[in-house]
Amino acid sequence: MNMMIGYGAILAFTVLVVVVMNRARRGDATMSEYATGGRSFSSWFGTMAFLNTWLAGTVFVAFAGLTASGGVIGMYSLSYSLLSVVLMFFLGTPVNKWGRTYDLRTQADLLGLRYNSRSVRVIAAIIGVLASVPWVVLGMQSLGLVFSTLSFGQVSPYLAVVIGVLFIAARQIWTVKLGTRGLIISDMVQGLFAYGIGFLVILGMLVWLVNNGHGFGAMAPALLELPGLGSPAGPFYLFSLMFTGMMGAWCWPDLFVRMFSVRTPRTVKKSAVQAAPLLFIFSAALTTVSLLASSVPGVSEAPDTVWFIMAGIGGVGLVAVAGVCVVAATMGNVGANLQALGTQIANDIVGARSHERVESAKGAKIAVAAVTLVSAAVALFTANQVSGLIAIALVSYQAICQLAPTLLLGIFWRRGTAAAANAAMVSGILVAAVLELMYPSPLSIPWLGGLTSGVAGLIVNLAVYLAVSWLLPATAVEQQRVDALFDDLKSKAPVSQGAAS
Amino acid sequence: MSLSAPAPDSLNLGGRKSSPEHRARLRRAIFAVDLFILLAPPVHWLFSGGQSAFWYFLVANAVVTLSLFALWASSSDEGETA
Repeated sequence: MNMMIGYGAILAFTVLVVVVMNRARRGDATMSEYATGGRSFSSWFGTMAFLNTWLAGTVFVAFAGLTASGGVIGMYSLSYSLLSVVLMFFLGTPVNKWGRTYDLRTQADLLGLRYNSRSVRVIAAIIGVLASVPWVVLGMQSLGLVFSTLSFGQVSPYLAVVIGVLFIAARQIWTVKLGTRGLIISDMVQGLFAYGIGFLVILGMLVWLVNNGHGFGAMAPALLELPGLGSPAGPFYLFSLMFTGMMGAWCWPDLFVRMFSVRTPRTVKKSAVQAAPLLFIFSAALTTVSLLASSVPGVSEAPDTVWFIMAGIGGVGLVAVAGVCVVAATMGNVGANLQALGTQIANDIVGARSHERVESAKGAKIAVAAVTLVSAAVALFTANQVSGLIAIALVSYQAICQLAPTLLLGIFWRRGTAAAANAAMVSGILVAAVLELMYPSPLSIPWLGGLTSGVAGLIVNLAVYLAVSWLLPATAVEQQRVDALFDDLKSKAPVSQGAAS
Repeated sequence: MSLSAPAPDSLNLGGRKSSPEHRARLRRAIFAVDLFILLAPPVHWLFSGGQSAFWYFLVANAVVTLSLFALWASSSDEGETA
């Protein structure tokens, strides 16, 4: 009976999401419409699309577990998330305006335009795809904990992973069919449940913890310490974690394309302003619960299950609601990733190779379906080797951060060149990869004061970008083209808007 | 929550017209303060022990959240709607 309640809740929620997606269905025969949802969404859809892409189901599992086991340092994710929102505010005008003016569909597309370079576009696209796939696979596998918990002991952990992978893969039928428009509509439903209902559940947990003696006084003192001067992790360790998180945020193709989907640059900014308090309130509450719950029996033995241990206090119904929160957050992240990766493969790898601008959505739909099937197959075959995949995922995070100088300096600085971008990305990835192998995450590099491999790679990356840009400046014609791109941003001409959604 | 479009000189505290350049400088200053309070290692070291670490994260992130509203108030994309 308990299992029926748990699995039934997930099924009912999924049906609700699919019904809402189908009601909003429109034609999306063109690649641009499929990839951007017609650039027609309002700020609230932009806000929820950002949150549902950024706050994956792992915030309830791995990040909550990190706080429950590692202590207050787990709050670093809140800090870099908010800095990413601040960056979103500044990125809004160039990304959205260039996107509409030049019909950009992907992050790599924008880089191709800015640097007037096919190689920059293709390298960025390949980095984005290769770095994202391990996270998609892990996202699929993470549902195993949900299906295992909601079976109340009826399903083995391995079978639960298989069920989770098959479930999330099947959900992608609608991602493939409905593209970005369907994703953003579903983000609203999924986000309202994951972070709205989820926040109410968190509030209940907080009240219970405080009323049952699980305050700061009950916590182990070590959990309230940050790595400081003289700490084993190194004095720059916390800085490195936050800096990598902030720089890496907009390098993820799935998150970046959200800025193409809303009506105007000002809509992106408004989405950021609305996202900040929601992100702050939700994440601060969740990390506080995870921190205080560290003294609850059973949590220290299995910190990744802290969300479900706490929900268990409220009975079967609350465990089912908690499970749906994780599923709702995972659906948004995995769907966005698969859609962005498929589109990027069709638009920027296959499209750039054939020297033709892809105009039909058919190729992207095939690519999204193919990436889904490959990811699901990898997730099933590696269901018993999750630790190896986590290592690859951590390496890939350090790798994707290396897009940041090319992406951010390209958007905010006129002098960067294609040669600088290519040299910087490649050198940064090589340095980060070698150091990551020597000092695997979450370890820091002792002789660099606790910097992580990603930050060390970024330092080399940035130095190469600046040096090559200054030593080998763009030709006069190319600089004139780039100046015109930036001058466009200063024009006060109103941005035309897509159809209202 | 409703965010109305700010008037171009909404941060005009002294009665003078605030120029686009002034507002752009203000936005860069806000960004620099946000980076400093959340990223600067000396700030982390200052609050590295006891409950102060928790309250540091809470207050610093609340300040950055509020800074988004200041950024919005100082932006002036007249002619565009959100």
